[in-house]
Amino acid sequence: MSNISLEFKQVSKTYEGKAGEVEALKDLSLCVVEGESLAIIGPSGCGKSTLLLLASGLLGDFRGKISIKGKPVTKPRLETGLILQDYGLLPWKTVFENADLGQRIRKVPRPERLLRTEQILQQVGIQDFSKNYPGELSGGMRQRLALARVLTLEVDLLLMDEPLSSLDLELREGLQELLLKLWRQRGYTQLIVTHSIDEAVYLGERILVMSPRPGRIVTEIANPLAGSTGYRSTPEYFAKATEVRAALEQRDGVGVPLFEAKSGTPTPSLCSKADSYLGESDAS
Amino acid sequence: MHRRLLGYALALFIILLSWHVLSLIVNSPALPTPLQTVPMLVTYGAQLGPDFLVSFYRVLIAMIIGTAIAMPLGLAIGRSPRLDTVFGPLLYILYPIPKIVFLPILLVLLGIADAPKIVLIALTIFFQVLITVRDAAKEVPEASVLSIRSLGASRMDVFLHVVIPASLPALFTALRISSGTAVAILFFAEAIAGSTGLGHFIIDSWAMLSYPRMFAGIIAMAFLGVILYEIFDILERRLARWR
Repeated sequence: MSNISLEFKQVSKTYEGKAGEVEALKDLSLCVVEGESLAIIGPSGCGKSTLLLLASGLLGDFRGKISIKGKPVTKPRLETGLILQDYGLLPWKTVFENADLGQRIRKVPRPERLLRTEQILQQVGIQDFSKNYPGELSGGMRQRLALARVLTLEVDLLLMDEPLSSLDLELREGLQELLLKLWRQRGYTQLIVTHSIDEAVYLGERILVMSPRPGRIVTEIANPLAGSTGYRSTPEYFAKATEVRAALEQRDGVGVPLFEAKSGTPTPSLCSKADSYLGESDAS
Repeated sequence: MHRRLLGYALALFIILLSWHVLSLIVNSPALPTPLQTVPMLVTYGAQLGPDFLVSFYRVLIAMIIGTAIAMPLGLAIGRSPRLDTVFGPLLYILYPIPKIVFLPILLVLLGIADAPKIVLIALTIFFQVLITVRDAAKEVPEASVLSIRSLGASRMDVFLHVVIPASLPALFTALRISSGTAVAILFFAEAIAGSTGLGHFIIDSWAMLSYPRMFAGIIAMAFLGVILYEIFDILERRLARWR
């Protein structure tokens, strides 16, 4: 049995909206296994971002249980990296200062810190823009910077909200490769929340499909070939994309339903299910 | 820098020319031509110089004191809904009162030297900066705050790396806007009380019916404003480099 990284048990979250209470997530359960790359896909406004904020310990006041490596999440955890949809870069800090910020906050000694930041900037390919401000960068470079800022830290869980949605196709593919490369190199667990089928199928070894608000996981699709070279141009890739599309459109009858269509009770052990999927991928 | 100087030269030329034409049209001793006025800057230089410095000192110190108190308060109120509930209404009641009405009281309490003038100007700056900075602190993008908190930032880190830099442009806007009011208040306070400063110099000239001398004082006051604006520009360029 693999180790569990992130686990949600029957998590519900409501917001105090202008027009009363908004139910963002309802009884959502999921399990992320250590080292895997998991994609969560769902229509916009289904609570995907809420899910990530909860997982990173930035939102309180929810029902249910959220834990990482067995420990309940109550505040931001040092080993969890979060990349928000609009990157959350600080416009008043240069590229270097932005990338360096996490280490600075954690009081990593200066020489060590600077060296590491330099290395990571090089790794993501924006070292030549160290002295620029984020406002002077293209969307793709901003995304690389957001990635660099998280990767200067020792993360074992990387949470990403629509990492590539605002980029054009060519850039997106280059960045997907980079995401996969870094994930393989560093061996962290990766959780990507997206509304792009392409992104989910290319990056997610497992794909969880979310329902519209209040969000919960309705289907799980195994995608063992995710990340393999040339996957994008194989028939399997298109078949998988079609499967995900169908799941998004119908939200039942495809993949493996986690909920009984009528009663709405979740299956008891999500983690063992996750495990069997990943077992499959190892065997293939 | 050269472009800026050129800009000033051009502006000066346009102002002096219009002034000259206007004064020829009005044809009254109350509006002397620049040709009659500018030499007065030299004639009364020995008096004007110290008065200028005194006025400059008063405005500058008042701005520093006002900002030093208002900035942290504004940031704190802007980031704490609880503090805002308490201080919001208080601000809205006190802010619209023109601070100049307190001049008589301040003269009684603080005498007629520098103190009442500095306090009065500091009060004006204080409210302007407090309200603008508070609003800017409220508007700090949530994504910036969340992302830095996910890096493990403390409350202090959030202020240092996000809230303060995000509010700096608003601070400079507030200082620019309020410096006009500040100089107006300075003039009034110096004209009413004491025997130093440009306000006193101008009113004194008026009493002596020496209009060219009075206009020399007005030129000095304009120069005071220019220096203040240039200081803000330089500071903003240094502290808010990303813009």
